[in-house]
Amino acid sequence: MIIEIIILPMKYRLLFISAFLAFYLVSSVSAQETDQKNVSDNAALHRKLDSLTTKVDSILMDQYDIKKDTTKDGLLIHNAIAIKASSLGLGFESILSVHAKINIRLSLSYFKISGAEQFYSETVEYDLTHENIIGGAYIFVDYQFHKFFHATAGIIYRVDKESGSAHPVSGITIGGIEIPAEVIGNISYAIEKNAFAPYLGIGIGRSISLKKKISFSADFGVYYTKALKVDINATGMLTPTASDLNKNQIINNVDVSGFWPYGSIQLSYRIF
Amino acid sequence: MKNKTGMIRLFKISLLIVLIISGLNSCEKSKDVLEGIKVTIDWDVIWSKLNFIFKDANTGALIGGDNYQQVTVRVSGESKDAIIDISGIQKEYYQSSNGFMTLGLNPNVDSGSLLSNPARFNIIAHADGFMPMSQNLTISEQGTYNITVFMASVENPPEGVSIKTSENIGMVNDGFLQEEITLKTSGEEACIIIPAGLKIVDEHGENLEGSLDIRLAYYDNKNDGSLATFPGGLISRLEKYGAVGDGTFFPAGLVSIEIFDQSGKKARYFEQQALQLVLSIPSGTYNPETQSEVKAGDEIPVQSYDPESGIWKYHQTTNVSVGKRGDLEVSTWISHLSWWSFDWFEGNYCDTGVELIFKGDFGECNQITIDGIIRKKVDGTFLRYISLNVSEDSTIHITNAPNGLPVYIEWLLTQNCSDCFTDPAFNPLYIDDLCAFNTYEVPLVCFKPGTTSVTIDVTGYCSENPDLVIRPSSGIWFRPIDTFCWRYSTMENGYAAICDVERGSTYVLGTYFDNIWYEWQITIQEQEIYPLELDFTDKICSELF
Repeated sequence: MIIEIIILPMKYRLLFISAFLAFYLVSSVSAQETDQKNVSDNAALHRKLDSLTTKVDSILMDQYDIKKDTTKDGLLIHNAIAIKASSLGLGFESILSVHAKINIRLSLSYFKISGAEQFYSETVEYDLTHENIIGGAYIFVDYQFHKFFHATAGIIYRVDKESGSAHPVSGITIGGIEIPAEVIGNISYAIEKNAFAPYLGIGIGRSISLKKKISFSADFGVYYTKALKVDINATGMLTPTASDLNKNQIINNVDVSGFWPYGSIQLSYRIF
Repeated sequence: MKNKTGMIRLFKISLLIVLIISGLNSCEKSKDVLEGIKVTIDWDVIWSKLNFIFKDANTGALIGGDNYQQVTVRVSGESKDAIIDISGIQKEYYQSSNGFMTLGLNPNVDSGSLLSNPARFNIIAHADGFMPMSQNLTISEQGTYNITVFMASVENPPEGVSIKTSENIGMVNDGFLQEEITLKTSGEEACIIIPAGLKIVDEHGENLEGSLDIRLAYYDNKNDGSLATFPGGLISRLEKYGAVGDGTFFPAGLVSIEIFDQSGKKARYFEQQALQLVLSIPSGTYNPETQSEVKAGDEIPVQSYDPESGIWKYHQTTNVSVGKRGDLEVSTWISHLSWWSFDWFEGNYCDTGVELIFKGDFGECNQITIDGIIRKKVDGTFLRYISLNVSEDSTIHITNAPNGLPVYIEWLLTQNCSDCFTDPAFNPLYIDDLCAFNTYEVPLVCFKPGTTSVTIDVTGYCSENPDLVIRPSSGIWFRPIDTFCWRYSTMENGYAAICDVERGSTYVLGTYFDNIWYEWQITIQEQEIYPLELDFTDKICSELF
């Protein structure tokens, strides 16, 4: 395992280490919670824990001047919305604080780049259009293990689509033959990397401020993805270009399988 | 204030990290997604293909089939600009390879109007050691045409062809022949008398000089070998009094005269005087005007052939007389050199004639090639060679057919090459008028001694452009490795069915593009598809791809 990590490129090594740290932090918290759960059978300890939780909440509320909106289960309920910029596009987020240290976040992001240009080969002038769409839907759970840091785990449904098309502007003369544009044909391709991807990361700041309306936070982590779908369509003389051989070549070229970095910054507004 | 500054710094750092991460993600995209993609094109832009096979009229062997000899072909005629190499390249001269050559009709011409406006052109073929040959062709519908061109070898001419070559004879000064030259073929079938004082010039009007090399070729009107080499074919076009008509020749005899001077300059015209040509007429020659055997006193038109236009030109009519040897002969004076024929020209012809429907067994791939000879019913002489690609439910029209002439088709049994042939009960097939709106059914039978069919998958490459793949379309010929019995198959976008072959046997396959013969060998095993690679020449790659 260590050897595998060492032989990874620097990019992956950094990502792996950061992911590992994030995972370790979350695991530590989970372990503490698990321990507490194990002793919860003990009524006395359970009562002590409730008392402790109440005390913690009380301290937090005193420290941060939080209104007493504690539920009957002792949880803190806050809700905020956020705008964010991430490596998967621009989007917005709804944040629900279910505990003083635990937030659940639902996000959507989207980004699109498109363009058109003309391409001149030796014989054919092509109109090229291309479009890149990235985005995703996320469910993140934050654990605020420090005043300024939180660990995050979640699922990203990643949307990543790249497409392009080319069609000849006009006919050509090859040898002694004039070939109309429609006979030459068009070609288009689409690469879809849509997939559910598990995410682990660490964050800076709070997605919901406990004492202010506006808060800033940032997330850095990794997600794992492997799915890839390639389609090529071609018409006219170019029809055989849409071959399985070429699809496999694109899959080899893109090769999305593996860990990919994720980062985001966001500004949140606490509604209540 | 301190906290605010810290938050701004934190925001900046975070933003920087997010940008770095986005950059890392974009590394995935910055890879060339299309790197290594093979742009693959179907090169099937020529819809009417013309498969030429050049054969020695005497032996039937392919010219260049067992050596590297090539037949040089020039295209002339009103539609010459519509003819291109199967690769798509148009040239002044085309060359066969291995005895094969595939041309095509430019698709810009090959539209739906062919029926009303057929493509008419001629090919003029030259090969070292062979008499020149010309073939008139008319394409009135899209399709694949197999055209066999028979050429007469000078050293080993077919039966009925007599060739006399004399070198370094006579003397020409400033174009004027100094002494009379008489030349006869070995059987005295043809004789030319070139009088002294005759001025000889080439096609540009330049004088010939020095001694002369003369080649006189006589073609009789009886044998298949000589009639198959009749310039332009016996079904042809004649210009008479300025009008061009279509019809069928009933030849009495044909000569070809070629004269070269020491420098290789070729004689074309005579001035001041004319050359006398005397031709004997074989007994039993049919005169369609009298509808009986030719006899002394009958009139015979005299024509010369213009290979540029592919049209025969009427000059005069001469009378049949009794020669010194007691046989019949004709004589005329000619003022230019070309092919000269004494023959009757009858009737019209139609571009599209009777319909043939082949029924029965077509072999493993439901497609075979059937060869035959159309003969005049009246005297059984050769009229035309046909080679038809037939398949079930396909209808074949006889093209360029003589109008109103009773004929019969003698199907050539090609069982040495194919296991399928026409039912013997329909061989020959009698047809009263090839231009009538009639349909004739021809049953086929096949013997299949354990044969199978496979597919070849031909991929074309250009060495200078490895990311380009060409799926070629042309004809494919194949034969067992131990015989020269070629069979034909159609290759479309790289795929061709190789039919009725035996497992365990090795076959030679070949195709033609732009003067080059590409050949492979495959041994038929259990696999169904045989991938083959075709490295196109730099010339094709640079001009086309």
